[in-house]
Formats: sequence, C-alpha cells, structure tokens
Amino acid sequence: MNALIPNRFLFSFEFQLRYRRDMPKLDGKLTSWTDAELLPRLSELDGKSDFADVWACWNETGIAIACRVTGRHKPLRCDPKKFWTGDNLRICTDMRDARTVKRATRFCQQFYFLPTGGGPGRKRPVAGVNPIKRAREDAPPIPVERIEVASRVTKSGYSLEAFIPGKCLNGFDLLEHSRIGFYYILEDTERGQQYLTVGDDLYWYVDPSTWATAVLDRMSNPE
Amino acid sequence: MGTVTEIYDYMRILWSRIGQPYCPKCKVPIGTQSSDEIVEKVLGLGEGRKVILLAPIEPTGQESYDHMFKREKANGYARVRVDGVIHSLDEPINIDRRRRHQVELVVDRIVIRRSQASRISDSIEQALSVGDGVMIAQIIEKAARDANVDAPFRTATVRERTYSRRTDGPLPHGRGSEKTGPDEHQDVEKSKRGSAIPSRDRKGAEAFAPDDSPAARGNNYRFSQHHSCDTCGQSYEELSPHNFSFNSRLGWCDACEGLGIQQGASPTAIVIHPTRSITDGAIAGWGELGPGAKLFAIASALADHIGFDPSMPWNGLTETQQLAFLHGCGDDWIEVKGTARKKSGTNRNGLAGVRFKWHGFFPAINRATRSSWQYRKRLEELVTDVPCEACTGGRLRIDAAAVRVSDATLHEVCLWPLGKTLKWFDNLTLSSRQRKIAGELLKEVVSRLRFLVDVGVDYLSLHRTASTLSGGESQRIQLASQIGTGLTGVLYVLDEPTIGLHPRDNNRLIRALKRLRDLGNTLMLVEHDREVIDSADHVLDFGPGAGAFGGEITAAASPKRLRTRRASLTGRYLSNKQSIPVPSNRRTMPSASPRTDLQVDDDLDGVVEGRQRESQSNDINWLIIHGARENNLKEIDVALPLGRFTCVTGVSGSGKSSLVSEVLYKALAVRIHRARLVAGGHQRITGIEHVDKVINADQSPIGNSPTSNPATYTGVFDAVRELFAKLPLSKIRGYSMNRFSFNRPGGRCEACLGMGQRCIEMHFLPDVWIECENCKGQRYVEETLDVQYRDKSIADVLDMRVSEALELFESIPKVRRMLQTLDDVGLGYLQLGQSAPTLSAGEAQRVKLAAELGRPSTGKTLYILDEPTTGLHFDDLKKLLAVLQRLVDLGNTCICIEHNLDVIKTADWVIDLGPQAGDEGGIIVAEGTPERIAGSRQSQTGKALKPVLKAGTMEERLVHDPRRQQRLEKDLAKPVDVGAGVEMPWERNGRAWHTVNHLDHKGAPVEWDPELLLWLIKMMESLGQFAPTDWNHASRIELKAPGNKPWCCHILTGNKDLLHVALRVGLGKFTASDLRRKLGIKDLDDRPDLPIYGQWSRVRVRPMPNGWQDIRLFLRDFKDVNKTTYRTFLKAAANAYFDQLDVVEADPDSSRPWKKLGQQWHLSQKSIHPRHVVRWRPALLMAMVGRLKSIQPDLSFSWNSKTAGLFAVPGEKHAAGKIVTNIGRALRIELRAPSGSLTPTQVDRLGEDCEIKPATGCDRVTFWIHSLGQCDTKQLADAWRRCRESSTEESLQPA
Repeated sequence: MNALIPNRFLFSFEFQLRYRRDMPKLDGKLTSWTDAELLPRLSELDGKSDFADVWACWNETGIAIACRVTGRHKPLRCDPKKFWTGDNLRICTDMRDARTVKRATRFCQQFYFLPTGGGPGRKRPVAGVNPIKRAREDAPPIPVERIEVASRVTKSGYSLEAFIPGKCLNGFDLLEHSRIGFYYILEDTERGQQYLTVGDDLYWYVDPSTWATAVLDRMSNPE
Repeated sequence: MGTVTEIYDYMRILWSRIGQPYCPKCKVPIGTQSSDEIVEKVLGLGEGRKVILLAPIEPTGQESYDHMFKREKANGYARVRVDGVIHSLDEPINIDRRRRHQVELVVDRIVIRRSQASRISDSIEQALSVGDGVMIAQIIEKAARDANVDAPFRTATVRERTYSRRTDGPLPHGRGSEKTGPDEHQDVEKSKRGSAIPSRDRKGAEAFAPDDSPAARGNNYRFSQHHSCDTCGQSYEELSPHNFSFNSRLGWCDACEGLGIQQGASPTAIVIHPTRSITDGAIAGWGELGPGAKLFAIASALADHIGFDPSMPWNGLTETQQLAFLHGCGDDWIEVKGTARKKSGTNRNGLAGVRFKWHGFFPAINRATRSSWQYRKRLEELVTDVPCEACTGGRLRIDAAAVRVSDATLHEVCLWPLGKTLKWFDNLTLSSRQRKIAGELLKEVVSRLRFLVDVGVDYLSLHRTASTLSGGESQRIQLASQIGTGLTGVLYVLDEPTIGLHPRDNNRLIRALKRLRDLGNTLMLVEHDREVIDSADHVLDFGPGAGAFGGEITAAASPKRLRTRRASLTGRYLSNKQSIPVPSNRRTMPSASPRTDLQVDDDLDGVVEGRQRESQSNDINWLIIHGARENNLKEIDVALPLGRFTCVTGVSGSGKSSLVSEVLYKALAVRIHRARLVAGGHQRITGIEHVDKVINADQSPIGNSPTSNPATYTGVFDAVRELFAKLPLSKIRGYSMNRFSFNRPGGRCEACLGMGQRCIEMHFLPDVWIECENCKGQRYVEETLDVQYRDKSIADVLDMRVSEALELFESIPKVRRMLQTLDDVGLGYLQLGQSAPTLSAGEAQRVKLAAELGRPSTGKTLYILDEPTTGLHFDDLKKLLAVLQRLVDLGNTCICIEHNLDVIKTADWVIDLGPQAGDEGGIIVAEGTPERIAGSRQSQTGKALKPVLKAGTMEERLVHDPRRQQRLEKDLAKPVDVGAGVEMPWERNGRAWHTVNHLDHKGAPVEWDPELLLWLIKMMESLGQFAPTDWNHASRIELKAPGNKPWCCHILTGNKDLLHVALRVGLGKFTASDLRRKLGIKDLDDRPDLPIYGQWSRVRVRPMPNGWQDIRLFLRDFKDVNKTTYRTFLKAAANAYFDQLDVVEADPDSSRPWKKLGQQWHLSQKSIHPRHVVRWRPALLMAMVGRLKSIQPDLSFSWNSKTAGLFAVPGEKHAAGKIVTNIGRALRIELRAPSGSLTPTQVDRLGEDCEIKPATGCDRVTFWIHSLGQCDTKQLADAWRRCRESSTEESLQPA
C-alpha cells in the first residue's frame, strides 16, 4: 500500500547551515564548494532520488546557495517572465523560526534563480524575488540587483551559484535569530522537481510551516 | 451500557469515594499532607543531616525580581535560591529579567535531630506559610564543605533564625506559587541544569540522596499541603462523583466532551501489519526498511526516543508507545544517531547534523487534509471515528481518569468484558474503611453484573454504546437495571429478548426471567424461539395468518397443551407435525476447505453418508480471507465456498460480524464497487474474481423519514405510479407519474405535505400527530384520487398489505414481481405505505433483501445477511429459506450470520467461530457441513445443533429452475397493457381536442388563442404539398411532406400560456436577428396584458445536424402575429423545407462527412465539441486500434459512425465493441461481453473508470484512456479471450 501522505510531511527537519568566513567565489564553476555544505538529501524518505546536488552556506554578510544539475538531454527552458514554467531554483527563507505559522509574514521571502534567460542574448543567469501568495504581510521591497548570481551551462546540465546579501533578507539578525526557516525546490523540465521537504501538493509556496529549520550557529560549525 | 444499567453511576461514586488519585503525568499517587506529616517526613530524612528549608516565591503582579528581592530583604531574609544557585540578598543578583526563574527563599538551615523537633516544626511551618503551603527541603551536608556555599551560609543561618524568633505575628511572605508549574519546573531542570541542583553540587547531592522516592529531586524534597503531585508539583482539586461523569461538564474530557471519539484517520489504514515491526512493513508506505535506508535511521532514532526496540512488532508496543508513534512527540527534537556533522565533515549521506520533530500520523494526516484539497479528497475515505486524542477514549477529564481502585482506572474496568469485570469485583480486596463506604455500592454493581452475565451478555463491556446493541441485547440489559430495584408486582413486556443470543445462552436467559417471575412479577414476551416458548407458563398463539388474516387468538394454553391444538400453527411446529426439514439433497461440498484440515470427532451416523456425498466434491470456487484480524479475530484464514449457502455461527461476541461485515463485505465493496469504506484488518482476499456484486442486507433502518416506506424503498411504488400515469384519465388530464408522488408537489395534499398526518407541536409535551383534515389521511388531492386502477386509488394502494396488492396487480408483471418477492421473504402482512421508522430491524432487513432480490441476478452475486430470521415465525422462516436457497440455485452465494438452528441445519457449509466471546474467541472452532459441525466437541453451536439435526425430518429440497419459474409466471396471469383498448379523445377527434377546451400537460385549461392555432395550420396546409395534418397526439400537431420524410412543422400545445411552433428549414436560410426584426414579436415584458413575464426572445434559430436549421416561435394570440408578414415567412420556410428535402435526397451523405472520410474523420477530432478540451492525441486512436488487432488479428473496423469506430470479429453476430471518439476527455472504449463473463476485478486495469454495466442481452465493459500506458495489455487480452470464449458458448447454445 502506498503512503497515505508524503513521509517527509510527518516530520519537521532541522539542519545546520555551514558557516564560511569567506563566501565561495561566484563563477558558475562551483570550485569552492565542498561536500560539507551540501544540504540534506531527504527525497529518499519518499522513495525518490535526487537528480542534483544543492549546497548552501552563510556568514555575517548573507547566504549563498548553489546547485549542479547533470544528465540532461534537452536544452534548458528559462523564461524570466514565467520563471515557474521552466528550469529554475527557488529558495524560501523565513528570518524568524516560526515554523507553526501557516501564512507568510514580512520575514518570509521567496527567491528564484534561472541559469539562463537574462541579458541581451538571454544567456545570462537571472535572480529575482517572487511575492509569497496568501501572505499575511508582504516582505518589503529589496534591491534585487544586489543578489549575485552566476551560472555555467553545459550540454548535459548546468551549475548555478547565488549569493543573497543580508540586506536583501528582511530581518537578517544573526545575533538574535540564529534559526531561520529554509526551503528549496529545484524544478527541472526533464526530471521534475527536487525539494527539501514537501512538494506542490502540500502548498510549500504559501505555507511556511512546511519549510525546514536551518541553524545559523557559528559556534557549532566553525570553519 | 454502563449508564443504561446504572452500573457506571455506582462505579463513579465508588471511584470518587475510595479511589486513590494518581498524577496523570507522573503516574504516582497524589495526596494532601498536614504540616505535622511534613515535619515527620523531614525528620525521617536522616538523623544528623543538614538541611536547608526553602519556600518557593514569585513576584506578585507586575513586580520585578529586583523589587521582590528588596521586599524579602526588608522582611528579614538574607538569601534566595535562584534556579538552584543560592545568592545573598545583600548583593545585586545578576539574572535575565525577561525570563522566568525558579526562586526559593531560604527560610532556615537545620540539622535533623529528634530532640530539635519543636524547632524544626517551627521552621517548617514558617516555610509553608511563606511558600503558600509548599516548601522544599534541600540536603546540603556534603555541599556544605564547598566553601562557596558554606561560608555565607553559616552567617545566613543565624540571621534567619534570629528573624524567626523575632517575629510573632503573621509571617511576611511573597506569594509562594501554589502552582509550581510542572512544565516550568522540569524545563528549568532539563534545559539549565539537568537536575534541580547546581552542577557544582551535583556530585555531593547524588552521594547523599537517601532514596529514590519520587519526591526526591537529587537532594531536594518537595512537600505540599495541597492536593498535588510530589513529583511534578501539579495541583489537583478534590474530585466528586460528578467529576467521573462523562455526561457532565464537570467530568467530561474537554476535547471530545465525553464522547470518547473524534474524527480521524483509521489506525488500520496506517498500521497495516500489526504483527510486524515499524521497520518491517507494519506501517503503510514505509515498507520493509533496510539498515542502509534513511527512513530506517530516522525510524530507529524515533523508536529510541519513544523508548522501544524498532524491531519489536507493533502489537508488542505499550499503549503509550503506540500513542506517541501515532500522535507525535510534541516539540522534542530528535537526533539521528551517527550522523552528527563533524568538523568539515562531508554530508554526502544527506543526514549529517539533521534533527527532526515527529508530528505523528494522526496530526500529520489531519494537517494534510486541512491544508490540501487533494489530500482531503484522497483521505476522506479513511476518516472514521477514532479514540479521542486527549482522553484515549476514556471520555473523562484527565485527573478523574487517573484515579485507581485496586490499581484499575474506571476506563480500564469499563473496557473489560462483563465476565471479567464481575470476577474483578468479586475478588476486590478493600480495607475496613473502604468496605464501609463501598458496601452498598458494590452490592448494587455486583448484582447487576451477575444478572448481565446470567442473561448471556458477558462478552459485552460497560463501555459499549447503547446504539450499537442489538434489540435482544438491549432488552436483556434493560432487565439488568430492573433486577436491582427488587420491585414486585411489575408487568414486564419484552419483544424477542433472544435476538442475538446464541442457543447456548438460552437457558441462562430463561433462568434469569424465571427469577424475575419468582420475585412476584409478570413477564409477557413476544417470542419465536422454541426453547423460550417451551419454558413459558402460558402461551397465547395469534393467527391464523398474517395481516388481515390474523388478529385472533388461535390457542391459549400451556406449551404442552399447545402442541395438541390443531388450530395453532405454533403448536404444530412445536409438536413437529410441521417442521423445517433438513434437506436430503444438500449441495455437494468437499470434505475440507482449502484453508486447513480440521480434526473433528464424528459421532453422527449421518456424517458417514455425508462424507460419501462429499467425496463426489466438484470443483467449486472459494473466497479465501487471509489473516483476518479485525477486533478479536486472531489472524485467521477463512475459506467461504462460492455458489453455496454458508452460515457463520458462534457464540455472541465471537467475531462473526467482525469477519463478515467488517472484513469481508467492506473489502469486497471496495474492490468491486469502489465503495468509500475502510475494510477491517486482514492481509488479502483471494477468489474475488468469481464475484461480480456484493450485497449486504443488514438490520439498519431503511430510512429515517416518514416519507420512506417499503413501497418506495423497493421501487415498487415507481412502477405503480407509472401504471397510474398510463391510465386513460391520467392521459386526458396530462398527469405524469410525478403527479402520484407524495414526496413532491403536484398531486399531493399540500396541507400535510403528502404525509396524511399533521404534527401538532405541544411545546412542553410530546408532539401529537393528527389526521390531516384536508385529505382525511389520504395524502393526495381529490383530482389525483380520481384516477383509479381497478377501483383503487393510489392512496388505497399505499394502505394495502403486500398480499392484497399482489392480488390487485397480478396482471402487471413489473409490480407483481417485486410484491411477490416481498411476500416470499415473509412480509406479506406489511402495509405498502408503512413509514420506515416504524419497521422493526428484522422487517427493514427483509425489505432490503426483497429489494435486492427483485433486481436482475447475475449469478455471481454474494449476499451477506446478518441474522435475517429476526422476528420471523417458523412458517415465515420456511419461506425465507426457500428464497435464499433459490438465490443459491441461480449460482449466487449466500453468507448468513445466524444463531437460528433451523437455518444452520439447512446450510451447505457452516463456519463456527469461537470458542468463547471477546478475547477468548476469534478463531475457527469448526467448519464443514452441519453434520460435521454437530460432530465437533469443541463447537458450542455443534452441541446445540446435534439434537436438532437428530430430531429433524429429512426431505428433498425442490431445486429452483428459472425456466420452469418463467413458464409458471406466464401461466399465472397474462400481462395487461393498461389503457390499450381505450380510444383517447385526441385519437377520436384530434382537431377538437387541440382547439376546444384543450388542457395543458398539467391538466389545466390553456390560455393561448385556439384561433391562432387554426390559422397557422390553415396557412401551412395551403403553402405546399404536405401530408394530411397529424392531430392525433395529446400535445403535438405535425406537418410533413408525404412519405417517410422528416417533419416540417410541429406545433406543441401542452403549454398553458404559449403555443410552441417549431419549423425545420435548410441551414442558413434565416438568421435570428433578421427574423426577430421582421416578425416583430415583442418580449413578454412588453405585453402588459399577459399574466406572464420575461425578457427572453420568443424567436429562436439554431443549426441542427444534417444540414437542417431549427426555428422556434412562442406565440400567444393574434397580437403577436402580423398576418401578412407571417404569411410571407411561412411561405419562405415551407419552400426552404422542401429545398432541403431535395438536397438530402440528391446526396444523402452531403451532410455526413464521416461517411465519406471514414477513419480520417475520427482522427481529425472534428466530432468533439469545440468547447471541450481535447486530452487525447489522434495517434492514440491508431495505437489502440493496433493493440486490439495484435490481440485479434482478423478484427474488422467500421468507421461509418459519426462518433465511434465499431469493431467486430468475423463470424460473430454483434459488434465486439467500439471506440468512442467524440469526447475530449479521453477515448472511451466499450466492449460487448456476454452476461456474467467478466467481473469488476478482471477489468480494473484496462483504463480509467472501468465499469461493467448490464445491457440488452449482454454486459457492456467501458473504460477510458488518454494514453496507451493506462491500458494493461495482458488484462485486455485476458478479458478479450473470456469474451470470445463465452460468445462461442452462447452461439453454440440453442436459441
């Protein structure tokens, strides 16, 4: 008999986000990322397998995230105007660890990253902010241009790196709030979705209580 | 049941008076202590020990900690202990003001000596006073050596004592917390220190801890004068009997308000294999987890946290562990072992540093269904009543639920079977004080329990809800509440108290009844049971027949004399002059089921003969339930023979209903009918493919509304209404069958809404029903009652008994068939219109059975009946058995849960469950033919059956032959076509019917102008070569070209207000806007002279298939018609009609492109409505054709139809099926299957929404696909093969 609900929905997860004094160099090559910064691989709990590696780390200046997708056969589809229809990486952050709140507060933000689709030849990576639906309160506007993003597209996939400065994260206050809500979903037009906790069927995009908790504790994981 | 018998009421007084309160959290006894007791306990801590006496304090109101410290310093105290660390009040105490702290005032330091008892007592009283009845004693003997504590402490001691002696009046204190919150207390301990003492003192404290009593927290001892837990400090109030009542706000669980249940997911859907461990497949969706799996690591960590071995079977977990697993572990973070992130460690395994909270299945499912529509829809079938999360089904508030008498809570005792409960009360040891309090209470409880056990309901528990009891159980329980009253001179009237009672327990019931009689009471029983009748002092036999033929006392005598009375039907059965015979030609059965070989002791002569017959066992199909474990079933395998009459027997509570109704019926209904039910626990069922329908005729009411009755439930009333609508008067008045319904306005009496009675509310008295003064109880208005069939109106029919109606409708086969079935099941006496709530459970069940029997039999139907003999006399029982045997003769299977030995002895196969009730039941004691059961020494049923079989007469049963039956029915009465010979007024003179005093379809006179109708007809007739106008229809006049041509004009006259003119012309001849402008018919709103209104256009034009155009006009009178314009229009319309006829005749396919294009038409998807979303691709059609041809290479396709491609097998008379292409959703494939050749489980993987529906002379299998992967080729090939095989057999049979 199949699972009644996704197994990951039976749990709330907490993990430590790796601290790095110096942020990785953003060049799309992913050379400065190590296995220690890999995010938990929980898809197996629901009998799925991950098709991509996803990394994340933090320091006092902000949060960096990266992913590598391999084994693709078809070209990428990225449309910045309809980013949700193509290949993209989205992350959700809640700068307050309120994992029982079912509607987004002003500390909740959703960022999206596309490996291509920007710039004059539509070859450059794209970063943006997407308002969270049904939010109780929207996060204030942020200077999106400050988000740094780099990518490298190959025949069999792509790699993507991004850095979100603390100024783009509303409520980024590591002294007072070292536990944050965190979620990622990687959408691939060939192989579907890879996500941290729950998928679309359980409304991750409106319900922050479905996200995981990331601990930004420098003492517990000193570099 | 506890409240009905009043046992629970006595028990709650007992528990409140002599029960020992326990802390619900810590599971330790709680109680109050006086200051003397506390002094004694402190003195008992150990002679010579040094102890600090502390009093817990809290800031009052908005007071800050600083202010509180200053206040206490001013009161003369020198030290406080904050979160376990002692501080001097002379120096500022550095604590976080925003957090709560555990603060205790140091009242005194003492050395325990008996000689100092007076001084110690003084200090303790002071501490209790300051701490508001709570104080803590901390042993500091070893810690005192620590200079940090000791040095300031010694000085403090002096000051405190000095202060103590200085004060005579009431001691100043900061309000000590009575509610030293257990959570706060524990949180502080856990999060800050891990123990109640500072870490630096811990070593010493452990060394000096005198014992492991729950009061001790390291070296801290908490004492309270309140009703509170010594361990967690939670206070509780004194409990009264009201607090043990789940019907009172004072006692019920706040979460469920005393119901003990809540809506939630069924545990059986989550824990699918309770005998396995959580890592070995016990949990749905978890499967068998290998040690390398992440879920295994997480499940193991969870199990460690809860405190059980992950490899332990689910059944082996304690209730608390199961609850934690199902309901979650709250806010505890759980770490996965061996995955802690090392410095710069890799996270390739994906779990490094991951911690998790366990939500539990119930809360997570609840949350998923609340937040997601998909899951709400998907899981709704799993939602059922589950024990309340807060009280785990105990219904009581937590403190009352934790009170124990002799180590048992009230809920635990209520859950036990009554037999066990009685033993427990009998063996209850009480102190002399308790015995004094409980004496009378125990006497009442035990006497009632003993009676209940005596009347055979020892398998029930006090927790069982009254609504789930059978009628017999309910009566026996009510008697129990009477027994305690000790009344005499009471007349007890009982209606079949033996319902649901196993023959083994009959004697116990009879003994109990006799005891009541011996007390000086009178008992009057309505009863059919042979043993009870035999034991009566006096019998009144009613009859001679049922209904109108009854109502007389045919015999009044003792049972012995009754046997000699010829007039008494019951007497004849008692004396065996008349009996239900044992069939000598029982259907052949194998010697053992495929389940197992049972060892039984055969000591009946008949068994030998039976075995000889059994040796001829043919190849019968078996339905096998594997691992049934619902309720008390012990993972049993049960084999049920198909095409046979099987009885499931066993003592009450042995698990019969759990097996048959909960497991078998629900599982089959889910598989075959896709019912939204949750089947009881079992592993699997094999042999379902031999069953195509399952019907459960249980004893639940057929309806709760007085408008529901046997006639409406069985559908016979529809046939009767249809008949009445066909009567000439109905046709003349335009009455449809709706007119004869009392459930909808039209023909019914509106004063009583068709009920025949009106309810008068009496406010403070019960409602009174009186006959409706408008219809005089007839339910209908006079006009409806005018319509009569053989001098009986529809109201008369409803008042008739079934047997009377059978006579009335003998020549109407559709009605007679159903009435005959009702009569066959012994309901000939029942009034057709008797309201459903007044039917007994047995009657309701037989009405259901009759309704099912009246439907076409597939020959593979499984009928499940739960005690169908309830309320049946021997004679009616005989009839019912004949009906059941008839069903089985037709190839169906009948499974009966039964106690009646007359039924059991006629069965082909018996499965006896037991050996006892409740936990001691749930296994198969014996199975086989009745003779074999009778030979089993273990079987209680067998013991009772043995003498019945020996005494019974053997007789050959007449095997039902359906063809012979058909012939008999034909001879019985020739069907009559009602109203066939009557010439209707429109047939006699159509023109006059339509134009003079014409009635609309509701029987009211029309208001449109008949002159206009005549003018229109005259005009049309003058415009072309039409055939003579056809007036011979009740509401339609037709004009058309001569010959077999499409009609040109229909004028519909059935509407009261407007004449409806429909014209057919060639496509594109007229446009709606142009025609509206030219004809100039105003909207109804613009005709103030009319009593009707509306803004819709009275001219409509729309295209029709085949190149036609349809024009509709709605006219009232000549004010709507300009004669000249109309003349021109009608002429143009007539010409357009004839022109189109010419076109159609010249090229019939011009308007039918599918005839020309063939398969291309279907691939173009043009037949799909433009508004439909097309979800299948043309290639799918080709692929499906290819797949069918791969199964049957010589299959031929015909694409001439507009909407479907037909395929046929050469040599077969009918098309084998079709592929419907005009629906955008998916391709619909229909297969023609010979009746009964396929069952639902044999076609369930062909595509979406697979279903088998009976069609004329065959079954039609329908399924939908929008991709080829949805269709299981193997199953399609199998189904195809079965269809072809059966088709061949059919074609070989003579016509």
